[in-house]
Order: sequence, then structure tokens, then C-alpha cells
Amino acid sequence: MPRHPHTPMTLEGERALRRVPHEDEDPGLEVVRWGSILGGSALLAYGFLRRNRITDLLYMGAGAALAYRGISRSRLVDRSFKRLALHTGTTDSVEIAASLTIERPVDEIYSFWQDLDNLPIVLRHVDTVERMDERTSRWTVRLPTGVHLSWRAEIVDERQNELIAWQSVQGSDIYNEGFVSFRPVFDGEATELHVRILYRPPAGKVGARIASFLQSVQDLYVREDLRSFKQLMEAGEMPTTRGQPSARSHRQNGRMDQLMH
Amino acid sequence: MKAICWFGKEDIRVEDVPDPEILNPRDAIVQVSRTAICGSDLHLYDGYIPTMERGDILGHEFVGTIVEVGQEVQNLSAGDRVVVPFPIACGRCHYCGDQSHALCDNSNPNAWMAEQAFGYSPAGIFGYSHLYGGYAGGQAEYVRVPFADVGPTIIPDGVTDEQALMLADVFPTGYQAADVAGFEPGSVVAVWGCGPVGLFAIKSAYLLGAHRVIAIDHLPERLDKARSQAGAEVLNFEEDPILDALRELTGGRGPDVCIEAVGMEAHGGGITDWYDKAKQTLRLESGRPHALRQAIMACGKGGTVVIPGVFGGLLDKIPMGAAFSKGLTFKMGQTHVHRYMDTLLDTVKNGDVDPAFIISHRVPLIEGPAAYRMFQHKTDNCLKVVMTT
Ligand SMILES: NC(=O)c1ccc[n+]([C@@H]2O[C@H](COP(=O)([O-])OP(=O)(O)OC[C@H]3O[C@@H](n4cnc5c(N)ncnc54)[C@H](O)[C@@H]3O)[C@@H](O)[C@H]2O)c1
Ligand SMILES: [Zn+2]
Ligand SMILES: [Zn+2]
Repeated sequence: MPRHPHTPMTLEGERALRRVPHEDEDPGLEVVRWGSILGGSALLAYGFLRRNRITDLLYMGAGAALAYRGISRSRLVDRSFKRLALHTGTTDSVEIAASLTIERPVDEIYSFWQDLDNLPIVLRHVDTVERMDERTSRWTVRLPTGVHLSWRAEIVDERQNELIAWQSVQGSDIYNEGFVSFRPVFDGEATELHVRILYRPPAGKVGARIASFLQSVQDLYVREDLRSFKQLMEAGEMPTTRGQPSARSHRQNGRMDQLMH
Repeated sequence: MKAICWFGKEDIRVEDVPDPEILNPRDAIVQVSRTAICGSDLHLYDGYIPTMERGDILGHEFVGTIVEVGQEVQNLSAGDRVVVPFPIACGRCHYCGDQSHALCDNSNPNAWMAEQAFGYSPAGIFGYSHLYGGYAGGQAEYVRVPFADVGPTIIPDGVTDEQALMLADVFPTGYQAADVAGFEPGSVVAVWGCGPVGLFAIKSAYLLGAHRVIAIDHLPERLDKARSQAGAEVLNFEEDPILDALRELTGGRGPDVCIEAVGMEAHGGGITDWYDKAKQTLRLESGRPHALRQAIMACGKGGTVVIPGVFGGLLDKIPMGAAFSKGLTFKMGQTHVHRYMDTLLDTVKNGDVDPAFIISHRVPLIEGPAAYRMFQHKTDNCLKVVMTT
């Protein structure tokens, strides 16, 4: 468990990602047009996902790591996904890390996170956090397949306006540890927030599926979750275009919306 | 309601779409009275801005009347006549606090996508692709305005809708180009492009103390306007050798400030034109930066290159060695319209500048598609089209 919030992150998540077959191994890549203009992987994802709902991808268990490479869905299923499944005998841990700066004083941000009931609001992949006693809580994460994973976590460090760190207790479905650290910047007018969560799923193919789900959570959700939190704290609302007019029928409306919801 | 919608390259249509509704507590609905077509819209029309979707409503320059406000909007009420800045800004983040509203942290619902493309996300913009938020635009009878408590500004009596409409984008954009250049007494400024943005850059340069302004374009009627209405000396890039002419006009020193008000679809360029055009068509390059290259080469030592012209992705053959060796400073970006709104409304109210001087065509909204074509080809001396709803 990292006791020092500002030590550089290890790259376990990176390593887990590396097990996904590299795009060079697959000669049949479909590169979406905009990608070559801007070179941005999200634009690849955009071109890809306008044809495939993200929830389907999550359901397939392959997640955003593959989507980001702009591989067509059939190929994804036929080859890459199979290879992914075959390649994963044991399971690496998945690390979720994100940070951003919020234009509010540190005590305001800290007290929000200190209240565990608030966590499922900001971390979408977390279903519930129930407080058992002073230091222990029960966490549930819902996989897109409907499977629930849960564990008990214990607060292992808590420093007012600085840090909250937790760790799963023995006998959990999935080993988990994490911290949120807070640092005042700009003469205390703003707060830097660093979140790091490490999951170590059980070994085997099931574990691999969980790992790839969590990897996709890392890429598509956690950063967005923190962003939503920042938007609510700063602007008091989240920017949206859901429900605005366009010359598309309702069904076609908002591929972007499909992407994020 | 009727709205101008994008369906693809050079394919825009007037469609019947649902009326907008309040979606967030800080929203307002504006009934549009007048809306303009911008040079930036041409980049969409010509298909050079990625992440447009069929059916998107266009338009980021509009004025009108408030018809409804969300529960958090206290400073506006139904009936107020307002001009709306084209960038959408929350007013409460670090960047808004710095008056850099076009860099707002909280107004782009697709920030994740912009982060992948640009590293960090700029503000959302009305009707300007999903990369910039996917907001429905204002070339429509009604438009939803997010963060209405900080964006829309009440138009004072004595300022017409048409004058105010020029403050939604083009006047502040020209003004910012001159403002960020930081003139010193005696500063000589060269402006590439005599479209609305270039013309306002010339006017603003004089307002902000530039000594001389030299304007460059190839359209005679625009050069005329730059000379007669904005007071610039003019050069035609199809006739004059621009680099030599600028050296000559500045006593061998080069301009202190070069403003690029052309953007990603510049004309000319001689030997490199076919190359850029081919690459742009193949999506290997996202602009034909002739004017930008020339501005960098022309700029005097220690000078500043200001780029209000819009660029999207990657550019080739930017003379970085010249920029580096001459110690140039670069300033660029979308305009922080909110920052300049009050100042410019005063300028108009006082009669110092009548920004409606650039308007060349007034047409009903339903004639929008034809107006886009006219503006694209600059036929009929088209300089700025205002559409009425
Ligand atoms: N930064 C911002 O916030 C912002 C706001 C509005 C517009 N813009 C951008 O500013 C640019 C100009 O907008 P506009 O409305 O004036 O457009 P416009 O199309 O009316 O004007 C462009 C002018 O540039 C001239 N031109 C073309 N190639 C040239 C060259 N090589 N040298 C000199 N001039 C050349 C054209 O003849 C034309 O007169 C566009 O790229 C637009 O997207 C930026
Ligand atoms: Zn504009
Ligand atoms: Zn903001």
C-alpha cells in the first residue's frame, strides 16, 4: 500500500494491458478515418463506438482497451478476443489512477470523500459502499454480466484534508486497495485530487475477464467520474446535450450519449 | 422549429426539428432574431472539422430574446434582448476565473475526446462538432444556451441586433488578436485575410495603438474595404511578392506583429499547394497553412505571430527554424468573447465602431444553404451573411 500519495505510480495497469494482443499482431485492423487526422485514440474509439454500444463491448469483456485500437467488432470477437482469453492464464492486478484539480478549498472536497455514502455517486463502477463500523465498509461492484463482486475494506490511513487509504480484508472475492489524496494549491483556492485504486482479481479465465472489465473501467469511467465530480463542485451541474434537438430521429440521436451511458 | 443542419460536406439543409428545452438549471432558451454565417462554419461546410454528425444543428453567432430560464439563472428574464458569446463557459473554473473563457474546464461534455486529440479539453462551442461538445447551434429559430447566467449579455439600448451580432464572435476575435499582440508605440502590424476577422483585427489594431496596418488578401472588394473602411495599406498576394513588399514597406525590419486571419483553407502557396491539398484530401494533413507559413517568414525579429485563424489537427512544413531563430512569440486560440463583451458594447454604443459595416447580405434562414454556397465561393462580393428567422 502506498503510504506516500505522491510517489510515482507503478505500471501494473500498463502490464495488464500489454497482455492484450498488440495491434501489430493483427493484419486486419480497421483504422477509422479521423484517427489519421488527429492521431487521438479517443477518436478511434469514437469512430468505432458509433457502430457499437460501449455496453456491448463491456459485456464481451474485452473492454475499451481493444475498442481504442479501432478493431472491428467481428474481428474483435473472432480473433482478438479469443486470443485475449487464451493469453490470460494468470491475472495481473489492475491499477486505476486519475488526478485532477478542483477550484474549491480542500476541506470541502475532503469532507465529501470522507463520507463513504458519497463514493458510489462519484465512482460509477462501484455499486454500493455500506459502512459496517468506524473503520470497515462493504463494497460491491457490479460487472456488466450481472455478476456482483464484493469485499470488505478497512480504512488503513486517514489524515484530515490529506489522505484516505483503504485495503480489502482477507477473504474478499477480489483483493483491493486504494487511496485518495488531497493537496491544496493556488493559495488554498483549489485542491489537487489524486485517486489510485488497485484491484487484484482471482487467477484464471474468470479473473482475466474481471481484469479486462476493470481495465475498461479505468479507461472510460474513472476519469469521467472524477470529471463529473469536478463539474458538480465547480459549476454546480454537469454539461450535457442529452435531449437537445437535431435532425436525427430519436433512435439515432446522440451516438455520443450511447457511448457514455 | 426550423434549423440549418449539417448532413455532410457541402450538404446542409433547413430541417424541421423539435424545439429545444431547458436541460440544466443554468440553461436559458433564446428565440433567435438574427444569426450569422462565419468563416469557421465554412470549415465545417467543407468537411475539414472532424466529429460532425449528420443532423447536427449549425451556428455559433446569434442574438435574440430570452424566452425561458432555468431555476439557477437570476440575472436574466423573458423578454431580455441578448447577444451570446460563441464559447460556452461555466464562469467558475480556474480558466473562467482568468477570463480565459474559451478554455473553460466544465463546458465540454465530450472533454474526454478532446483530451485524446489535444491533451486537454477546450470549452464547448455552439454548433461546432462533437469534439467541441456537440451542442446544437443557433442557426435556428430557438437555441438552448447553457450557463446562461455568465454568457448572454443584455444588449443596451442604442445598439441594434445586427451590431450586437458581430460581438458574438468576429469583432471580439479581431480585437483579441490585436489585444494579445501587445503593441508598442510605432508597432507595424500585418494582417493576412480581409474577411470579417481580418477587418476587425485591422480596426482593433488601430484602436489599441498600432502605428500602421498592412492587410493582405486577393479579393479586390475585400482589399478595398480594408483600405477605405479600416484604414489599412493593402497587398494582393496574387500580384505582390508578399515577403519582399512587407520588407520594403517596413524599412527592411519586417512587421512587429503578424496576424493570421485566414485559417486552415488558405489559397495560394505556389509550389507547395498541390502537396498540401493532396495531403489534406487524404486526411494526412488537416490544413493548408500557406498564410501561416508566410506570416512566420515575414515576421520581424523578436516579433509576435497571432493566429485567430482556425486550425484543427496536424500541419506540415511549418518553418520552425525561422520562428526559433528570430525569437518569435506565438499567440493563438479560440476567442475569450466574454472577456471583451462589455468593452466592445461600449465601443459600439459610443459610436467609435459600427461593426455592421461588414454585413454584405441579409437573407431569411430558409435561404441558408444558398447563402453558405455564396459565402464559400465569395460570389456577389459576399463578406458577411446575416440570416433572419
Ligand atoms: N479564433 C477564433 O475564435 C475564431 C473566430 C472566428 C473565426 N475564426 C477563423 O478566422 C478565419 C477567418 O474567418 P472569416 O470569417 O474572416 O473568414 P473568411 O473566409 O470570410 O475570410 C478569409 C479570408 O482569407 C483570405 N485568404 C485566403 N488565403 C489567403 C492567403 N494565403 N493570404 C491572405 N489571405 C488569404 C480569403 O480570400 C478571405 O478573404 C477562419 O479560419 C475562421 O475559422 C476564428
Ligand atoms: Zn464565428
Ligand atoms: Zn469555466
